[in-house]
Amino acid sequence: MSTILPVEDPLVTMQRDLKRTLEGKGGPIAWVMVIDQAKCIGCHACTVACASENALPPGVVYRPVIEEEKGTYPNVSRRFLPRPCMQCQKPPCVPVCPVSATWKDDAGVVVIDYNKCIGCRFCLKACPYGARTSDFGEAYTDGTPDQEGRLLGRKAAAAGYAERTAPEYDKEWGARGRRSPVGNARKCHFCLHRVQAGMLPSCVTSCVGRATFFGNANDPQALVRKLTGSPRVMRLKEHLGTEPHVYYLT
Amino acid sequence: MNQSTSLQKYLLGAACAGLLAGAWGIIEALLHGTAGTGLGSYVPWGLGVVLYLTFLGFSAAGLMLALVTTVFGRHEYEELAGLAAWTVVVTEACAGLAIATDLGHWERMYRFIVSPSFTSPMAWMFVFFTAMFIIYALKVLALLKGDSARAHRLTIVSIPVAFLFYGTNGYIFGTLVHHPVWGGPVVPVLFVAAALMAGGALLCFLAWAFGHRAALVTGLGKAVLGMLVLFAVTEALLVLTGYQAGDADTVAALDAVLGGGSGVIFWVLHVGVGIIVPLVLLTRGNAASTAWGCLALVLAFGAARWSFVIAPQFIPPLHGLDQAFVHHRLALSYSPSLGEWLATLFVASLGLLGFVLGPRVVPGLFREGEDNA
Repeated sequence: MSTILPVEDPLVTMQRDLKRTLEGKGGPIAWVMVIDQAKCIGCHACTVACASENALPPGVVYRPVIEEEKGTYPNVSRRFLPRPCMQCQKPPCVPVCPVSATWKDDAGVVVIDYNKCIGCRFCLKACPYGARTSDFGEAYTDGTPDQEGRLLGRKAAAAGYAERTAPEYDKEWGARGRRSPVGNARKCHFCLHRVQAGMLPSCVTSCVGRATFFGNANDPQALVRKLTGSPRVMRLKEHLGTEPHVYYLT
Repeated sequence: MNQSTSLQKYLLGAACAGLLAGAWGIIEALLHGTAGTGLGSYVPWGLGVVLYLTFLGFSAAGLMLALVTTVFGRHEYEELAGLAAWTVVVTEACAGLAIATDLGHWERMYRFIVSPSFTSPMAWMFVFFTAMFIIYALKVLALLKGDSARAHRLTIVSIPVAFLFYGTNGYIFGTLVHHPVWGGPVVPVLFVAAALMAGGALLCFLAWAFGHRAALVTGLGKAVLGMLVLFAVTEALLVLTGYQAGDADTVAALDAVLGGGSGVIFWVLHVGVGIIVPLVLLTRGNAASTAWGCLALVLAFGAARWSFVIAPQFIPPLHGLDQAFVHHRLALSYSPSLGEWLATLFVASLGLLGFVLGPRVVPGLFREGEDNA
């Protein structure tokens, strides 16, 4: 006789973990993400949720899902590799910034000061994971009638999607035009604005397969702490010595 | 003399036309940053960086002359000091304009001063760039005042600064160890050799064009030939070691450099016009051949920079990344926009204008020789 044991949704567990950490009971904060490739179904919901949460413009993506196909017919398999920023312990993107516009914060997240960034794109080339993208100033409303017909200083945010601006780093960045974050390097920041408000990152909550986990690596009770101890754990390009804070369960 | 004057008029007209035609490229960059470029996040360095590195190389005319006169004691080349100093000032101005307008936020360049991060090779690049410009601007003033002692002191100071400057630009690429073709210790050496080659070639051609003695032109041509050989060997080593080591990304990047559309630029413009033609002409030994060989090298130097900068970026940092989220700003390809070409035309025309107007604005720097005057 088998019985089905009630299993708590990992989101509930992680929400409890997050609350504990924010209350100062989980030890020093070191945010990490764990992605279970065996559970990822490649639905790209995390990519879309991230783009929506951060009001990402065209051509800027924080969390693409790479599809890998192996073998030849009929012995073919596929697997998916969501790729957020690795929030490396030793991030190669940070020391190359010539104007101190990016750094690793106390919680282990690599952040950018959009108002300092000069847009040299050195950090884009320095990241071995391609996790930084440049905001070239495009908007989903480009090409719509309201956007045409102005030679200089055309109104970048007239209606619809473009009116919703990036909430990153606890600041509303205003209408898209020439001002930051246009012209800047941009990247995943583990939805710090949500986390600080007690919410899990949008890629975590949107994951229909519950394949993405988030929490404080220093909290001995945290779900991510248990997962990072799994023998299935690997990190991308470990030989580079960047020590990513994103772990994959293979 | 009449021929020379009419040629100057044509060149002046060409420079002014180029400035007018190319002005929109600069204005667009100043108004809209990188929005009008063909750049993307996976190929974020394009024609602006190529242009910067090209003019940066030309500015090594000063270092080449400083080495010839100071280290090798060939004081007869001192008569080129004014021309070399002017070349550095003009080409650095062009390089500075090229890279400033390539930034997403050029108006924040003051950040290099108020919040520099000296762990970044780019911050050091800014320091050495500024130092070089100041040193050579002061040298121009010293030469105009006839203060040869001060000019000599500035020349001595300029040598280590210049080596650091050109080396640092290579260091920017060399430190990206994960990046195919770019990473590695040979790259800073390649940059110094490339700069001395290109700067020397420009100075040699200008020395001939401004009528300096044939012996100076051919002598300088030998130095350029030496640097050309060093550059070609270093570049060949970079390619051969990359293929022999067999790292998949490096091999793919080298294939991208040597084949396809980029291959035409590499083999025809860079190797053909930029290496073989100068090699043939520079070994002939007469002043005219030397000058034309140097001109070929100068004109094709941009192709060398293009081959090094652009094609190696066509390899994704993670395989399949370019297919994960499809957008033209996330493609593994690059074609400069019209705005970028116009900005290039403007910068090149500015350089031409500098050399056409130079003899009129600062005649003291352009002492004509006897052979061609």
